[in-house]
Order: sequence, then structure tokens, then C-alpha cells
Amino acid sequence: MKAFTYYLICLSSLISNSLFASNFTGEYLIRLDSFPNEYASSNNLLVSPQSNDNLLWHAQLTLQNSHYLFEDISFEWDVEVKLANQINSSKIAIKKAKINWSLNQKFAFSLGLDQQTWGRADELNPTDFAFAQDRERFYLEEKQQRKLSRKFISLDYQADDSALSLMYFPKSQTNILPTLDSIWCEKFCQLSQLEGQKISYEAAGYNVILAQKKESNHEVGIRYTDRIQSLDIGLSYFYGNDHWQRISRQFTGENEVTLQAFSPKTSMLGIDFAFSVSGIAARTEVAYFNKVKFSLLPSSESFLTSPDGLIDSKLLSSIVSIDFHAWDSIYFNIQYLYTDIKSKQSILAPAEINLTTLVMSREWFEPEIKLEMASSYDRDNSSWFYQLNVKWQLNYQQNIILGYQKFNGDDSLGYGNFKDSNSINLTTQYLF
Amino acid sequence: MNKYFVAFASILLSLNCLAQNPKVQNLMERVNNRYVGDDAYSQVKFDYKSSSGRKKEMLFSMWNLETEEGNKTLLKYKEPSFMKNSGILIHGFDNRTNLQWLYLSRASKREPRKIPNSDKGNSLFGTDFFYVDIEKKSTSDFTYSYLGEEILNNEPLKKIQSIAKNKEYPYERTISWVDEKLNMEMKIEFYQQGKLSKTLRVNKIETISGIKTATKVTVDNHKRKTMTTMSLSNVKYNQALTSNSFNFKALTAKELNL
Repeated sequence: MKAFTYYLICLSSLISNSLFASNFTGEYLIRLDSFPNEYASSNNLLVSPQSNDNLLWHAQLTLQNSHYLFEDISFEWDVEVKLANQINSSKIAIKKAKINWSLNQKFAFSLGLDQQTWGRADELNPTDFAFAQDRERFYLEEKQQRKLSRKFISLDYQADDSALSLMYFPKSQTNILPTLDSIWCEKFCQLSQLEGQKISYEAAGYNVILAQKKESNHEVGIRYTDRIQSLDIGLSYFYGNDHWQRISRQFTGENEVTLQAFSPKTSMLGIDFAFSVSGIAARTEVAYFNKVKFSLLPSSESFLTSPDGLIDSKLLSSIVSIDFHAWDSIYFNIQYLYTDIKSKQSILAPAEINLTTLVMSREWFEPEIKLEMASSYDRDNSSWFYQLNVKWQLNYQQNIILGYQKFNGDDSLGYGNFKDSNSINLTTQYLF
Repeated sequence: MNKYFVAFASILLSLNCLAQNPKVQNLMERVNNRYVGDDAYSQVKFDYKSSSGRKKEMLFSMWNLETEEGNKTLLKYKEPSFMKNSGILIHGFDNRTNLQWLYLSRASKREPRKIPNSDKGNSLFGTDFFYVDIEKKSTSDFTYSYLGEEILNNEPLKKIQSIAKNKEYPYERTISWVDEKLNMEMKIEFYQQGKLSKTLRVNKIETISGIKTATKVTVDNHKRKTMTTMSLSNVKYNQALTSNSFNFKALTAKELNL
């Protein structure tokens, strides 16, 4: 562990050197979210949001670079600085800091911090399980920004059209949920977070004991991709702790409750492939999750912390994604996600989703203007959302997006949970 | 009225038969099969000018290979730096649908992404060139007709109309001004939805390793009122590239020395 810290310090010094020594790339992003509706209080809330601020602002600066330290050894880094009026206010995160050692152009050994997204479909990736998520950010935002980086060691093999990556993670990772005073906590924290549970029991006059559970931290991931004629194929395997933690609760005395957070061991086996037929590109992913039985405190109950409900002993999740261009300037992307949830424990999870994205690009004015529409429906159309973005491409590097999101449906199902969170947002992004 | 229509139609048909003469087919086959090396490397610079005069510049490395089953192209960004190592890989086939993959080095999914063939009529990296414009075409996919001779830059050129047999082809028709001596198209007009959408002009030809090479080509986009100039430099032919170099490894490589 100390060695790893030392290694990170070395990397940090290299980063500072490279900032001045070489050209770096990056982007800045500023986003304003406005919520026209006042939050309605919900009956089943365990934790009330501490803030009624209806305006969120968020600024982000990302800097990245990669360069060769020696002939076969390269170093990549990516640092993100975030400022916000809510959601952990401000932080600097090293998202990527890794050394790659290339051996005879085919093998590569890598060590450090990385942030990866697995899978082949566009937005929803059942096989994307190796890297945890940052749910402090609203989940409709760009997927890349929601991934957490983690320490890893990997051995990669790259042949002509095939690639194999063996990854070892020395420490398990859990998804980050919104902090208690964030605007999203009302939705995400209903049944979650040890801290929320603790506060709620303390408020009810209980003495709260937080129990520790020792868990094995080692995790492994394998990803193999290949091209067979016109079929692109990928196989994924992950074995480790579920990123969504559970909380067990045991009443250990008359006015005493013991809470314990734990992550069940999980294995994921996934297959994905892409092919094109005439003008259409189709992408498909299937993931099978198997959770190893876990032991709880005696006579205790357990709670989910997952807004996706991807927690059960066995689960199959699959997606079909199709995209094509039509009529010169319109781009369609249609996705259908089906998750076979055996248990009804999933409260917030839309098990079956249709996601349709329509991008219409038209040069009405000299800077390009794009109209992006996305809509999504869960099982039985009981809850849905749609969003509309007007994207103004000022120039090659800079764009401004004006967006609107609307949610609807049953309060306790899928997107219906967010129905009071309809929002308008303004984002500007600059790449350099 | 019907009588006149039948007479007019029969004249058109006979003209079409005349136009479809083997000489035109032969000329276009010579153009298409002109020797452009077994393979080629070049540095490609795109200068794009928007309708308001704003400019952007992009620099790529491009590798081409002619194979028995079709052609292969690999295009990789050099500049601007924030796009470096991103690129596109095209496997063109004479007898079946082409395959295209896009790789974006800054995307979180660091794997080549298959792109639909309906993208063929889309802008190549935001320029006035379409993906289809950098593909090699097969003469069997088109119906040609001869439209006469015209003087262009003091050279008598054959004016040929091409209509794609495949309805998915992004252009309704194209008209080419062909230099018979060089077996090269010197100017092409592209028509979409009944209107002239783009005009391509060859501005500069150089002889490199004995091969006539169009090193400067301009496309005027009449629809968008934009213009792109593609300039080739550092052109090298016959570098002994093989099919194995046009793969995912090359597309995703950070440093590529084929």
C-alpha cells in the first residue's frame, strides 16, 4: 500500500513536470441545471434533502497527456478539477495515471490508475461492470464522466484484430452515491447509504453500532475482443465485489441497532458483438451476473443500495442497439434493454427499457445546430423520460447545449422517481 | 400528346444506347484501374473554410492498399492534438458492402466502433468530403453515359455522367470531366436531390515515383456554401504494405510506423 502511495507521489511529480514540459490536451465544461419545480416531500423518505436550491452549477476542467519516458515505456495521465455549488462542492481527481510498458509490439504491461468503460452498445452497457460509477452526477450525463478510476495492474495482448486484456484490481470499489445534502439524494438515498440509515435511527432514539465486515478485496477482469469477417465480437469476465453495497440491519438491544455495509461477491460473464447490414449498424450485449451467497449478521435484514436494482443471486441483462443515418442529416439510435430480474427487490430499477435517440443535424445557421432527442420507457410504459437538446457547435472545438429533461410515471417506479426533477440545463464545452 | 411522348422517349432511348457505348465504359474502367501504386502513404491536410470565412485545419496520415478483393484505407489524425491517434479504417470490397470503423482516442470506450454504411454520405471529419469520396469505386456499380467533350484549362476533356445502380449511393448522379491522356477525373460535379451539391476540382498534379498524383484537390459545397482543400504531401508509393497492416491494432496504435 505504501509502495503504491509512493508510486502515486512519483506519478504526481511527473504530471507536474509534464504540464510544463509538453503539450497537453483537455477540455473545460460548465453546466447549469435549473429545476423549475419545487421538490415535493415524499412519504417514504428516510433522509430529507438539506438543500432546496433549485439551481446547480458545475464546472470541470480536464487535463490529459501521454508521453514516452523511455523507448518502450509511456506514461498517461488525466486530471479532473470539479467545482460545484452542491455535490461535494469541489474536488480534484486523478482519473488516469498509468505507466505502460510495451513488449515487442504485442504485449503491454500497465500499472496505475485508469478509468474504462466496457461494452459495445451506445448508452446502456450491461457488460460494463469492472469500473464503478459516480452517481453524484445525474445519471443522464455522459457516461464517461460517471466512471470512477481505480488502481489496476494489467497485461494486454494485441494481435492484428484481436486484443486480450487481463486486469487485476488490488482493492474493491464501490459506487459513489450522492451526498446527503445533494439535490439527488432525495431520489437515490431512499433506502441507501449507511450514513442515512444511521441518521434515521439516531433520530428515532436508537444507539447505532456500525459493524465492520472483512471482505476479500481482490478482483479480476478479462476482456477479449476480435473481428471475425464482418462481425466484431467481445467477451468479458469480471469477478469481485458488487459495486453496489448492501446494508444489513440487526436489532441488538431494545434501543440498539447494528448496521453493516457489505458487498456480495459477484461474477459477470458477458458477450457483445457488432455487425453492419446494408445501412444499419447493430450492437448487442448480454451479461449474466451470478452473486455468491453471502453471510449476514444473525437475524438481520438487508437492504439494497442500488438504484439500478442489479442485485440478486442470478440475473441476465441484455441489450440490442441499432443505429443508422437517414435523410441526409438525421441519425437514429434505438436501444432496447431487457433485464430478467428474478426478485422484486428492485424498487427503482426499470427492468425493461426502450431508448430511442434521434439526432437531427441541420446547418440552419453557419455554426452547426443539432437537435438531439432521446426518450426512454420502462416496462409497461409505466414510467418514462425524454430529453431535448439543442446543440450549437460554435466552431470545431466549442459547443453550447441547451437541454430539457422531463420525467413521468409512477412515483415508485423507474423514471417516475424523478418526475419532480424535470430540469433545464445549459452546458458549454471546449476541447483543446 | 401521347404520340409526341413516344417519339421523344424513343429518341432518348436511342441516345442512351449510343451513350452506353463500350468506349465510355472502357474509358471509365481505365480511370478506375489506373495504376496508383500497390500501396501508398501520404500526409493529408484538410483546409476547411466555412460560409462565413472561418477556417480549420486538420492533418492526417493516410495509408492505402489495393488488394484483390478491394482496397483498404487507414486515416489517422496527427493534428489538432486533442484528436491525435483517432482515426478511421475502411475495408472496401468489390463485391460486397464495405466495412468502416471509427476510433476516438479520447472516448472512454477504447475500442474501434463499427459505423453504419448509411454514414457513407456523411461528412468526413467535418469536411466537405464524404466517407464515400475516399473509397475506390467499381465500374460495375455504375451506368455511364457520354455527354460530349469540353475544354477545361485548355485541355479537351470527356464529359461522362455516372449513375449508381445501388440506391443507397449518396449521390443521384455525378458528372466527370475526364482527361483521356492521364486517365484522371479533373472535375466532378455531384448531384443530390436534383441539385448540384458539390464540385470537386483537381488543382495540382505531380508525378511521384512515375505515378501521376493529384496533390491538391478542392471541393466546393454549394449546399453548405463551404469549401475544403485537400493537400497531399510526403507521398510514398509501394512501401510493401500488407493487408495485415490495416487492422484494429493499427487503428488504435499510439505510434504507427507501417
